[in-house]
Amino acid sequence: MDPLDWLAEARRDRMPPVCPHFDIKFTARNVRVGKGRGVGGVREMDLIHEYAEGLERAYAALRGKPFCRQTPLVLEGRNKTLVEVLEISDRFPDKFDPLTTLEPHTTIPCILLPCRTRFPTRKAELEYAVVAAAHEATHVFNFRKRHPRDPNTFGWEWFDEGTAVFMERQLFPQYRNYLEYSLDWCDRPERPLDDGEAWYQSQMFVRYLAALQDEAFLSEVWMCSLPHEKPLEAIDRLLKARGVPADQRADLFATYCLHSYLLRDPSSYCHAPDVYERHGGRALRESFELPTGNTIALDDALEHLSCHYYRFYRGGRAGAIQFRWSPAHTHSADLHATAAVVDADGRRGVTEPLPLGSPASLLAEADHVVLVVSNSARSGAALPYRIEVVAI
Amino acid sequence: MARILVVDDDLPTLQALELLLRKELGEEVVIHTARNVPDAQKLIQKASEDRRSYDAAILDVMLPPDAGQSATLDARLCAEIRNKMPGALVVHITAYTGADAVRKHLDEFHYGEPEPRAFPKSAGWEGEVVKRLKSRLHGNRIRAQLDELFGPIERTGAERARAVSGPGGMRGGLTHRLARLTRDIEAHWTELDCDLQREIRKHFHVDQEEKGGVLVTLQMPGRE
Repeated sequence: MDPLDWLAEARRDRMPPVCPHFDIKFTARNVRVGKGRGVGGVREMDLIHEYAEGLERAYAALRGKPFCRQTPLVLEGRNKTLVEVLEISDRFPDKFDPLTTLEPHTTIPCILLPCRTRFPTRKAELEYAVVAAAHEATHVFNFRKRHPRDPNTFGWEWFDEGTAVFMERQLFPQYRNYLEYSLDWCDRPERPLDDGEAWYQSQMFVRYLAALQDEAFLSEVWMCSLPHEKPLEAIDRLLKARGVPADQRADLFATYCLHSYLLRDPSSYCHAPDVYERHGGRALRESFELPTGNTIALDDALEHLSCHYYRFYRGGRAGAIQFRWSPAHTHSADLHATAAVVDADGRRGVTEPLPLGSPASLLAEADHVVLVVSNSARSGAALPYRIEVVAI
Repeated sequence: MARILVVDDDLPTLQALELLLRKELGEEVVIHTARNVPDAQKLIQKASEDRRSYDAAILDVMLPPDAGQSATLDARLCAEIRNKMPGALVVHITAYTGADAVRKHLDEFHYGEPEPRAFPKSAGWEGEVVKRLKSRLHGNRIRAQLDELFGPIERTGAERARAVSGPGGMRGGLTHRLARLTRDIEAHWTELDCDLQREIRKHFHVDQEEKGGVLVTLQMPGRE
């Protein structure tokens, strides 16, 4: 039995839904008798039905297994989360996005959803509505642990938005709205994971974590993090508690960057053919075709929590490509480099990390070799590096 | 990150101020110091060339016109700051508040600014200077966030086309941008000037809490 049977009845009767966990407030744009509400009103009841479905499906998922999250904070007496459906630009000029904030005069979370959108079709609007509602409902759960008033919430924004987009995909993969955030994720690997312009794109990191461990781990990060911890600190401590060795934890971000390249490889923890199909793989810093004996130097710098991808094709009779750090130009242990042989279908062969100063070689036996350079520092200035590449 | 210029020929005063500013403003501040007019001019010129204006300058009214010379009233720094970085707050400190030359300078360069236009170097003056600075720096940051969220925003045609594409374009992270702003307001409410507090009350409810501090929540259009 679908737990949303009550919604099916409301849909059939074109009546306002009475949700068990959300109190949805709205007004109709054109009423049968009385003044019209213009931009602040809802056109058709089906928008409210979609919102109700998104909200309640997210609630059921997050309260149930494997997430098992705590119930959101609600106002005593109402015992539901307030949801206002209104014209967002009435409050924020030029903005149309849904948001989660606090009810006036209280510390209780509430959700603001748009009463109208600019999508070209009704279908697109309704698909967006159900997904956006699930996204905002996830914030309400996350606020239980990381309240917006708490100064310690600073630094959790990217993980919050990443988790919310992750839940969109979990609940409504058929709508693929989450793919809009993969566009810049694909094209800008040099943008830090926690960058203010990339909060939503961190969904791919959240997706990686869930694949690497399991979905319950995401809830552990939310519910078991210590007040002063930032997401990556909590992840490291909780992975340790799960028995993940120190070297694997230290390489977590570098491994994520490598797996991010392998979107078509089913063995990758970032296996995402949907992302590849829509946006292609992650953008390359540079590509080379190296004949035997040729040497080049890759001189560059990386922001924290970001990466560069270099691709090497075999030139002439070259049988191997050797990479080595130039220690005189590369000073930080936060820089990681990993090379992998990749076949024509985007699957990975041999992978080798490059410890600072140590040469490593790979047979270019497949389509190409990818070199992934990443900076796992959690903050700070861009780190310079130089990597020398020789075709043998 | 806030950028502050401090100019005083008295080294202990300079060091004490720098220490206090770092303590009060934390890591989020860049402080440059100079002990005479030419050194300060070089810093202002460099900041201007780098397009990294100072948010505030603390200037002794009387400064040596060159290294090793006696201090005298020199208006060149005020003039340069006014020309090159008009948004910067200039806070004067002086041991000669009653002097005619000082009063004339304040009327000429700092007319209409809040009193005291020059802080006398008497007991507790450093704390008062820092208070004025904090009010300005926190206020500037909060004003910028208010502008970002509530406009009005001047846009080019192309920017406007992008802005009105959402939803369906990129969602803008309103949830956390709003949360950051309200946390900032709550943390610094008592340090903000009355004009800014009035501006904030146009958009938010600001409620006094029993335990002290304020609770800042968004006003809902057409619902209250």
